[in-house]
Amino acid sequence: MLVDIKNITCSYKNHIALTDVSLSADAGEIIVCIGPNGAGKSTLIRAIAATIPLQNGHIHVDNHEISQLAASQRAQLIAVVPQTVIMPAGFTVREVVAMARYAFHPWYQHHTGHDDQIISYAMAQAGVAHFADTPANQLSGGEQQRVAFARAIAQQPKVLLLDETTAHLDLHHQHAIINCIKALAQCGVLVIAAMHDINLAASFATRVCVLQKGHLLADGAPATVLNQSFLEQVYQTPLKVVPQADHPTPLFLLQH
Amino acid sequence: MQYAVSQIKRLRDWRGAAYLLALTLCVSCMLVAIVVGSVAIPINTVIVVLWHWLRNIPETVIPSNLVTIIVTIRLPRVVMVMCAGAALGGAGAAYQGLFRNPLADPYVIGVASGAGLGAISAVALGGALAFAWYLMPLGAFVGALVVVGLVYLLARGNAQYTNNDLILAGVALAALANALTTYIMLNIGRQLSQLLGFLLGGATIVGWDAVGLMVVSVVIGMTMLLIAARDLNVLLFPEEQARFLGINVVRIRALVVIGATLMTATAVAFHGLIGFVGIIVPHSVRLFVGGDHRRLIPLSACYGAVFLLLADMLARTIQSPQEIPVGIVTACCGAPFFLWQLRTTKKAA
Repeated sequence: MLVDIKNITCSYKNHIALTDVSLSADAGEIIVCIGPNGAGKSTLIRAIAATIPLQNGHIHVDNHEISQLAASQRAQLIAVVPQTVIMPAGFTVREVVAMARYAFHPWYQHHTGHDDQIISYAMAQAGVAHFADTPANQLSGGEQQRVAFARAIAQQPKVLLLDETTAHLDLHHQHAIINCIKALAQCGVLVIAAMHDINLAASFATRVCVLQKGHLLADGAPATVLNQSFLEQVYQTPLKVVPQADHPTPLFLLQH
Repeated sequence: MQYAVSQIKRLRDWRGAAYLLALTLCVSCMLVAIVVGSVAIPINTVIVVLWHWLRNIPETVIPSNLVTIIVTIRLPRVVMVMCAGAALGGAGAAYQGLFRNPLADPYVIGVASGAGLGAISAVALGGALAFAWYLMPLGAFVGALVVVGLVYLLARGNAQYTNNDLILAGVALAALANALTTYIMLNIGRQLSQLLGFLLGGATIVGWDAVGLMVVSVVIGMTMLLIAARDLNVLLFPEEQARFLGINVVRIRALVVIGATLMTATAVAFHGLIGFVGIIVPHSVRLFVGGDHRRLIPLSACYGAVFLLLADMLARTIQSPQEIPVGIVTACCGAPFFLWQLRTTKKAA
């Protein structure tokens, strides 16, 4: 197992965000976590990236207890695309993507031609290569998000974590990013994504996890997990279901 | 943070030129600064004397009083001024990166005032009889570290730290430190004019041993900043994202705080409270070479040295033979610059 999460509990100052969650996943899977606001999706992402402490349980990635790893070792294993990324002034897109390679070298070493290739490849994958030399902070929100995605790819991670990454993207770029995620998974990258769009999740996930109030309610193939009565109960909202001829899961829409 | 970066791409081609220009300006301004003074010394004489002095060969042709003026008065002062400028420029660039705030500068966040209080307290405690120069940098470093620590803790509070809190905490602590400094000065009494000169900024102490200490602290401070420079780029993103990218946030922050504070403290101890060098210089440099701290910090130090040297020359000559504190010159250039920067930052936000 590439990622092995055993009985983890996490909490913020005065509320518990995750309760006794266990999950294990293998290379090449695309796992999408869905659930209402505050269900613990982002907390799960943070826990795997080891930026919040666990109160209970443990997480192994590639047979390493993640809290035992040095920050730079962790960054060579796990990459995260955060919900929103605001680019600082004074850096081109290429320079921002190059930050992914910092963890691979000590401070006195300049990055190599090999790093340059990885950076260029990552920019091409995320569709930001044509503004490589533009100041990153002058791009639109969606473009900045894609730069963050390129930076995560340039870390060449074994585990890629996405926190609402596609939320700010237009349809064309959502499609492009999802194709890119599928390609990465085929190369053996484990992708774990937190997401609100159930239909988008169903279209590309190999597994869907449903979280509610910090509990993992369901975990399985999209076609088995995503059914009307269960989702209506989780979201406390009546849904309309539209079957699709060419896809095993139906579309879930709000009832008017 | 919004800088005028629309032309970054075109200006990036000037990176190499920026280093070359910095070096040329440093050397030429240094020579001019030795030439200019109450007794003007011809530049070829200056070069000959320096050449012999560097090779440690006695010089016989040039009158010995000129040699004395150059080697024991002007040269140490010029080196001291350049080191102080480099310290303030480099520290300013580092603090701006650390606090993710384009207005952070050793003066604005109160570190310089803390160093001033520490230095004055050291003098007061060290006995008002001798101007205990060697106690000042130590006191200044302690004072500056206390202020940095307090600013950090106050701004951090219980929640996640935010940058505006940090600047406001710095302003409040600077006011307190300045008030205490004035109180101690009034009580020392005797050397009021000398101490006033210290508060306004001016090269008060220029023995070769003081210069040596200044050079050492700039070398140590700059080394720490250059070690941290690359990873400081990532700290421009929120702390959590920096950790996603594999940065040891605590280590980098510690390196930057100690390095920048050490340089600020010695600059204040030997050269008084000089404002705005740490804000004018890094901003101007950033326009030409971008935000990468690996270039920004060393170039800010170089141009800081040049800037303070020019300001010091102006301060020496504008009312010659009387000398005005260099802090007045830098404040006259810096305050309008700061206000302009404040406006552009506000517009961007």
